[in-house]
Amino acid sequence: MAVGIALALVAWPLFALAMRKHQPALLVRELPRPVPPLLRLVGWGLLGASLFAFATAKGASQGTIFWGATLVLTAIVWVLLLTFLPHRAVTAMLGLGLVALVVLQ
Amino acid sequence: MKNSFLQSMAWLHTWAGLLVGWLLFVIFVGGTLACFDKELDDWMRPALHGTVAPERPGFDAAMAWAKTQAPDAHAWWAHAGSERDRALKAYIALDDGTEITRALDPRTGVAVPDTAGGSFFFTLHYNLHAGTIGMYIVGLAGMLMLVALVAGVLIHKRVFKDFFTFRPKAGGQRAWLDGHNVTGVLGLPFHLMVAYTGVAIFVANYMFGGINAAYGGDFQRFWQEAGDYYEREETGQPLQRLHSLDSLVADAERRMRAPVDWASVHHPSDSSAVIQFGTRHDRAVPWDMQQVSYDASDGRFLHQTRPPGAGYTTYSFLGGMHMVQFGGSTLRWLYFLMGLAGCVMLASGMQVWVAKRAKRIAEAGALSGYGLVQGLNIGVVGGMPLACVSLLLANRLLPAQLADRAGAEATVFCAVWLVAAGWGMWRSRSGRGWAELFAATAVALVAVPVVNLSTSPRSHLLATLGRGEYALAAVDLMVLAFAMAFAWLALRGRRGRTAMQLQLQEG
Repeated sequence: MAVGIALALVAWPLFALAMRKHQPALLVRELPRPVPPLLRLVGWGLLGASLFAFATAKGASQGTIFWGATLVLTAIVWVLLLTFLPHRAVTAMLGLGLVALVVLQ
Repeated sequence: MKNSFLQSMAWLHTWAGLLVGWLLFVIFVGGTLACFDKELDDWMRPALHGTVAPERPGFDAAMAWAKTQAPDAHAWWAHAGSERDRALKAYIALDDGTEITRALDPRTGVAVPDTAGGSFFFTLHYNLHAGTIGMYIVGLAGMLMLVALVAGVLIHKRVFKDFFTFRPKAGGQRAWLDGHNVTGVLGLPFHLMVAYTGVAIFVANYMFGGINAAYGGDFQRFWQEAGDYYEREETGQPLQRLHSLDSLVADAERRMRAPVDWASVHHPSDSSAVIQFGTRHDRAVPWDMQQVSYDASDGRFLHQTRPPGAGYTTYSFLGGMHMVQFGGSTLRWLYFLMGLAGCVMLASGMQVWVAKRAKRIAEAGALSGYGLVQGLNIGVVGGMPLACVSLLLANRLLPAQLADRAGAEATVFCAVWLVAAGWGMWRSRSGRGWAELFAATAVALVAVPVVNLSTSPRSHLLATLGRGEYALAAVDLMVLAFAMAFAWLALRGRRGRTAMQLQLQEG
């Protein structure tokens, strides 16, 4: 389950980094043109991998519910970090992912 | 009808949301707290703190108590204690439909002081403590919530562009709308699921055409057939002796391949009386509705429910998803946090309506439709948390021997809410309502662990932490966390009032 949470925590910043709107707050400069679609693709991949991790740990039905709940709450955490700590938001989210891996494993 | 589809949907979202918004807020707060209803039940019975429930449930004590109260009842029920709530709970269902409930010490079978408990919030969220009428009102609110959610998605044109956008510093309508959008969009899967499954649980009551056609409106027979539950006609002859329920528990567990959670005796004074056992719902998403039945006079095995069909399993799955008895405390915490997000979505949505019309409200005054909405926002959103805390305080402060103690706790809840709502509405004229109610809630929340310390020597935070009863300790710790959150909201409310006054003066 820890892996699923960590993957979800990493996926959301990738989606935000892929959005031109959030790049000034998160990065020094805008990303080159081919990078955002790639980030989005990796983000979707991580969300899919997160679902797989939850389904492996909890079974298909419970795992899907755990996954959905985790997506909602990690997204809210990401929005709060992006709002109140924009320059450190990505690092904080990666840190939280690491904490989830270490503490919940 | 409006000029365009989007305008129509915006109108629908606004009014479907506003009309039942206050009711949905009450339902959401109740439902969110009910994620931990059993833990709250346990916290509100300090007489049992520090004790350990026996490993094998003993139902005979509960039935003996029920017999002293109502020997001719329609049915007696008993719920075994668990790691979440150690009390043995006895229920008596009378022929007129009323129910008597009492918590017993699982070791001795002696009744412990009564409390409204966390079950108060559970019942509040599905029928507002108003029986069948309340259930229909909540169902209607749930259906309107589904309408508002779908309309909300349709009108949110920048749903992906604004997916992560929250601008609290923008102030006024912008900040409220962002808060509403973020909690609404990110929490959408949960909001849709919880509204849909909440309505689906009572589907037989809301869509009764099929039952009317196939069962002549006999709901009980429908459920009996759907779940393959056992029932037999009364003989009119008295039952000579009730067989021990405790001696049948091992056999019931062997047949169900699951631990027994509850037991019942139907028409206990009649020779046709039946003992039934059921299990817990915490091992899978769908409710585990299997039952085994025994003859109450000699303990002879009578019936075991067959595995449910696809329709009943689907129904149990939807109900199980809503009631979150599976997945352990981790999933309950996730539901609790998403429930809080839902409360924020509803409260901020109603504040969007007010913020959008701030000027008109200021011109029309408190005694107008606009003023009423503003006052109701404060009264419901600001008043209900204070009422919830007052229930916890009343639990510790009311005398243990008080007659109808649970009713007295509920009365305190209602009285505090009425006073708080009245105060908030009155003070909304000067713009101080929010800040004052939030400040009062913060103070009341801080008082909970203090009162707990002074009135319950085995139940305060240090004692529960020392014994490793972390679920009890978590209640006090969460109360303190909420105290900080409400203190922060009170400070924000004061600053917000000043900013709004400046805006209105400039405008």
